[in-house]
Amino acid sequence: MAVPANLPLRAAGLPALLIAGLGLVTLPVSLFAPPGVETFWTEILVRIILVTGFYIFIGNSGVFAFGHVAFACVGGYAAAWLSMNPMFKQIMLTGLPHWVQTLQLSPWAGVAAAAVMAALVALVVGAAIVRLSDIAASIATFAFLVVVNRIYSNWDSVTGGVAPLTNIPQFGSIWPTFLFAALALLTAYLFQRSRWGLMLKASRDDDVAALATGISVYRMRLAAFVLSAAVMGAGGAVYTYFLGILTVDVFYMGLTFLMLVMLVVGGAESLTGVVAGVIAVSTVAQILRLAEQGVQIGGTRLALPLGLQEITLGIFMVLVLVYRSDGITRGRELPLPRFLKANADAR
Amino acid sequence: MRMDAKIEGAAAAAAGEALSVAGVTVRFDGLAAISGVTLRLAPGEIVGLIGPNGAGKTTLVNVLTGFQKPTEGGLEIDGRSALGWSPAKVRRAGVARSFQAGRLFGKLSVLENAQVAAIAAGLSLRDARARAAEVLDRTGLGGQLGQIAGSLPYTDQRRLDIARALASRPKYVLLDEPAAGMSDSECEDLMRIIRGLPGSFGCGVLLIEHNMHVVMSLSDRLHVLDGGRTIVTGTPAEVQADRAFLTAYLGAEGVE
Repeated sequence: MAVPANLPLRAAGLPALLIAGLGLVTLPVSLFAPPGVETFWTEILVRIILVTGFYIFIGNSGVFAFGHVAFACVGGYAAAWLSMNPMFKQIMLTGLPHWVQTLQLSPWAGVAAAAVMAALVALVVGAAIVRLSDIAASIATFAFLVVVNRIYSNWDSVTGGVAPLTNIPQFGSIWPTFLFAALALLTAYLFQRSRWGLMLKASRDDDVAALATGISVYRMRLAAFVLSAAVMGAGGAVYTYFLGILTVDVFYMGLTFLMLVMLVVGGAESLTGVVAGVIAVSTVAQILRLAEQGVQIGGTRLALPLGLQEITLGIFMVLVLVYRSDGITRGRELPLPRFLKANADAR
Repeated sequence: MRMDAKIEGAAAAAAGEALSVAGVTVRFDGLAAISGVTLRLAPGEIVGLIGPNGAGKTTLVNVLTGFQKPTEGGLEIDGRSALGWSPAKVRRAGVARSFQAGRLFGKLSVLENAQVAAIAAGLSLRDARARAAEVLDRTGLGGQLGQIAGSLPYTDQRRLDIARALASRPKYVLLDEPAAGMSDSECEDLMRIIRGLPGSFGCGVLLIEHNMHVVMSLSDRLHVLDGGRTIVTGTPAEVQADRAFLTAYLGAEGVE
């Protein structure tokens, strides 16, 4: 059987298509859109990074991990520690080592460092967590999220506690965020098509048969756990540089819930589902947020009651689970145009 | 071709190449599932493992593949003790198995199911793909490479399970009731594939099967278990003439 040349670039049809689609929206947004729309779209790009982080582990291993936002928290604070104005660090974060206090890295270096730090934490934590069976692993990741949140909320001299950290430099443009979103998608794609990704997906479908096939399920899961944490760490840093301000509760239950809704709505087993889920849920959430703010008509203000946003998203997720349990994409990828498809199939 | 493999197999057996258990006992909560079983499988031969339900066949297969640690007794692969090895390690030492329930990677394609087995054996993505395509071709699944495994008809799923076991080029392959639920014509098809395994892949086959026609016509030797103990071993002809075998299968009255 002839196996055509397998150049990485030619095989990367799917992420190329997804990235091109995102770029096609980002370009007019960066040129013409009012600030509100640009913020909305930047937030979508950040969420794509974070949901991709979730996806790399959940989508390929089949183990539902609820705690990945903790890695975004680790990454966000790493970014703040490395890039905040040194003057403020010396006043607010007296517990930081002196060399960190005097450091002021660019956001680019900050994102890289955040990814590395989250990956290291994941290597230690994951070594224990991914040994557990599916449900136990899910609960353990959730416990990990709570532990991280408590530590970061109370370690005042290092994290500033629940007080917001300010004077964090911003990217100043939508394009760096777009670039990191593209990088996250490409990373996820290359992983799922790699030897390790394929072995992990096999264990997702049947872990007993995977063991009998000679696959070390533990090692594959740990690899995916660390890689996904790195993406989450980078996402947390990008989020921090986008906001320019950091509070610990940004990376907690609310964000976890939103990310999981996006993953489930889009379809947890395809990369296309990640992008579709983020855009669909963000749009619905944005409309609801505007409705909660209400509109002024004459002298009266029409507004929906607060909290309706979460309720509606919850109902939205339940409806998707009932009628399309594998998400709006049904776990499938975008159909590729013919000129790309021939190459992708010939992997 | 089969004769060549047999001669090779005999040479390998003489050189001590075999998958074997000696005096193996497995107890669950004090209850013995198998006791004192000794069995040897050399490359190139087909050994039939039969016995009534609950005789301990699957427990024995689990011991041979590292899924079950025996309470007593030894497990050897090519002269090395494999006692306490993980299933993955046993597999890498050359012992592959198929499952009664299929246990395919349901959301992967037919090609990927076999490819991932070759990858786990250490091949690159590309070499694994080529080998998977070759094995699938030989098991008659060459036309369905892109199909999702979970959507295959039942008999094709059984064949894919065997192809997946073969994709890592095992020295020993354990087939757990491959003919279960198949019609006569589907059985013939499967028998042709199994009969060809020692010749085309050079491996030894341990065939666990309830279908007497399949087992009797394929096996070089038979190993009969009942109540966790070996009751008879020998060629199909010898076993069929044995009183203990008839009693186990037909009941005491059947022999009278």
